[in-house]
Amino acid sequence: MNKKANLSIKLGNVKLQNPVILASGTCGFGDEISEFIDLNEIGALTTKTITLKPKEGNPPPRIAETEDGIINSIGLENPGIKVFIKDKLPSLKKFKIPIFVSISGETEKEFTELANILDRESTKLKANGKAISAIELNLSCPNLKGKNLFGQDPKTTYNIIKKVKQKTSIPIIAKLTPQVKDITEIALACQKAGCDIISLINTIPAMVIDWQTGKPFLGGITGGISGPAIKPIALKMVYETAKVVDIPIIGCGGIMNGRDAIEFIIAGASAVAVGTANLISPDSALSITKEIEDYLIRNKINSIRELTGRVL
Amino acid sequence: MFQREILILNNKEIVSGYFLMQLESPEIARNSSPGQFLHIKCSPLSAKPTLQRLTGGDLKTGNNKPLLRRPFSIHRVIEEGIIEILYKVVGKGTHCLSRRKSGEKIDCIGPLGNGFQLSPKESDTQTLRSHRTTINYQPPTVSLIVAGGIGIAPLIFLTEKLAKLKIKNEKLKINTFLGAKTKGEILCTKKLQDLGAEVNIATEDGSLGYKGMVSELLRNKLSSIVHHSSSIVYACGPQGMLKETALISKEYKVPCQVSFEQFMGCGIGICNACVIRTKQGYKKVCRDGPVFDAEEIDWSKI
Repeated sequence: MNKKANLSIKLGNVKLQNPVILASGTCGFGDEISEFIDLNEIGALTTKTITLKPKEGNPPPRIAETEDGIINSIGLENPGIKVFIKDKLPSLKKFKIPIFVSISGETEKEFTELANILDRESTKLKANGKAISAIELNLSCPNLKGKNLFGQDPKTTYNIIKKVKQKTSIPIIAKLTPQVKDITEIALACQKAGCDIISLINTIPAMVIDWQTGKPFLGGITGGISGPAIKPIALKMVYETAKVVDIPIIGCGGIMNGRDAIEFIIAGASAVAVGTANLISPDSALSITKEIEDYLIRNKINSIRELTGRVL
Repeated sequence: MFQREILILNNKEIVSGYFLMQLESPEIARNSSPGQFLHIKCSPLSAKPTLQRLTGGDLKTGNNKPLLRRPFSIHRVIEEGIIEILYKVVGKGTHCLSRRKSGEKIDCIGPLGNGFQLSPKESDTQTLRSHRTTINYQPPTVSLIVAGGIGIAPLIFLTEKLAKLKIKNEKLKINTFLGAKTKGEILCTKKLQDLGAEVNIATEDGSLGYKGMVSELLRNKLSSIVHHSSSIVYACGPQGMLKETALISKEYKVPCQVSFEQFMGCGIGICNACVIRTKQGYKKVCRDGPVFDAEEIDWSKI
């Protein structure tokens, strides 16, 4: 039996040593989680979403547990791009793995401004041998009140990506919401706009009511559900999207172990992002990677790349 | 801090609905200080995945409910690396934990959080978090410890630490105030007396001790103390009780440290779920707390 399987993948021009990525908002900026996991062993890390101005987030409680998932209502709490560049980026660049920076704007202009700033910073970093590997556009956070999700409209999605692409040469990932009539329509708009990678799905809007008080449990009233409960939905979205686009897909939604990851890859994902599992065990990405490798060896598959989209 | 699968030595119902669990982990025990907590996966540990399991049977998801870990403050650290947690069965997590048997292992992260600050000197020698506000007080001679219900859990560890200091300095006094709805929920009184602490009890239904809120007992005590500058209040319990305690302490200009119970996600500071409103904005209970200087908290939002 082979001792090793090839786990390395490519997302466009971005090379990853293995297909397991830490999802945005579930690994901070790498500092706390690195006390529990050697980040140099994982595929890539996606930062918590950064906005132009600092955001204080939603009132607590910000998390609720359901039968098979968790609902969060963090509200994009983050220190803003300035503090990110000054305080967070220097420690992030110490890791050898690709770093994906997640951004969100309230307008198309905010997205392009953020991309512009990151492009400048990345150029500076590049001089020292380390650049930002990709920018993830969070087009799909369900916790911003009174705003439509950009990722629900193909035209808006297209416009944002197109404009962002004009500002930067850093590869772009579009993080999509499952709350759409037809995911393929959005995915095709991303591809047409020159998007490099598609990541799906974000959390699904949800809520919990405390039956004893009659009040919504979360401070933000509604939140987004993640975890095993949403896995079958995410899987279907990846499957459908993979059939129509040529650009690589990062599959995300309730991946808790190697088997879940394999299922996403068979459905058409080139890589997977792990979110909820990080909150339960900060070293989940490593055990998932190990389980993927064991699966490949057991089934005499030389490279994970052979598996992508096998179901199609 | 460590993530370990540790052995359950004991898990007994000591009073109806309240359990005492003993866990063996010399490295966690060695590094723990009063007020810190363990983040525990309450579900049974499934065996490490094997190749066979990967092609068929259960993986790590087997028996994995509830999904999230639950935080438990460290109740006591006893010799030979044994840690105790004291918990009340309130929901899915604690119910699940109450069913774990001695001899089983349990997945545990800890010690987490900052813990109580006994004196500035003590904080230098412990691995406490840096975000705390340092108060420039002389080592206090009167410790007033206020517990609401299961909030007593971390305060026993604290009292044991203080009792050790008391052996060296006879002038030190430990006054404890235990509050609960009814007498069945007043715990650890004997333990506190054995440690040389004065025990004051309040129950809402008057079934034991003073009838009323525990904060009223604290107020009575503070009004009888002449030198407030040498006193300090430590509290743990429901937010309403912490708020009352903080306001009374402020009135008498006594420093007060409060330990919060809050719904948590990760417990290690990555998800930003367990925040509490402070005067400097939201702070994480798991990482910046669970113990805060009462002055730091924006009580108007609680």
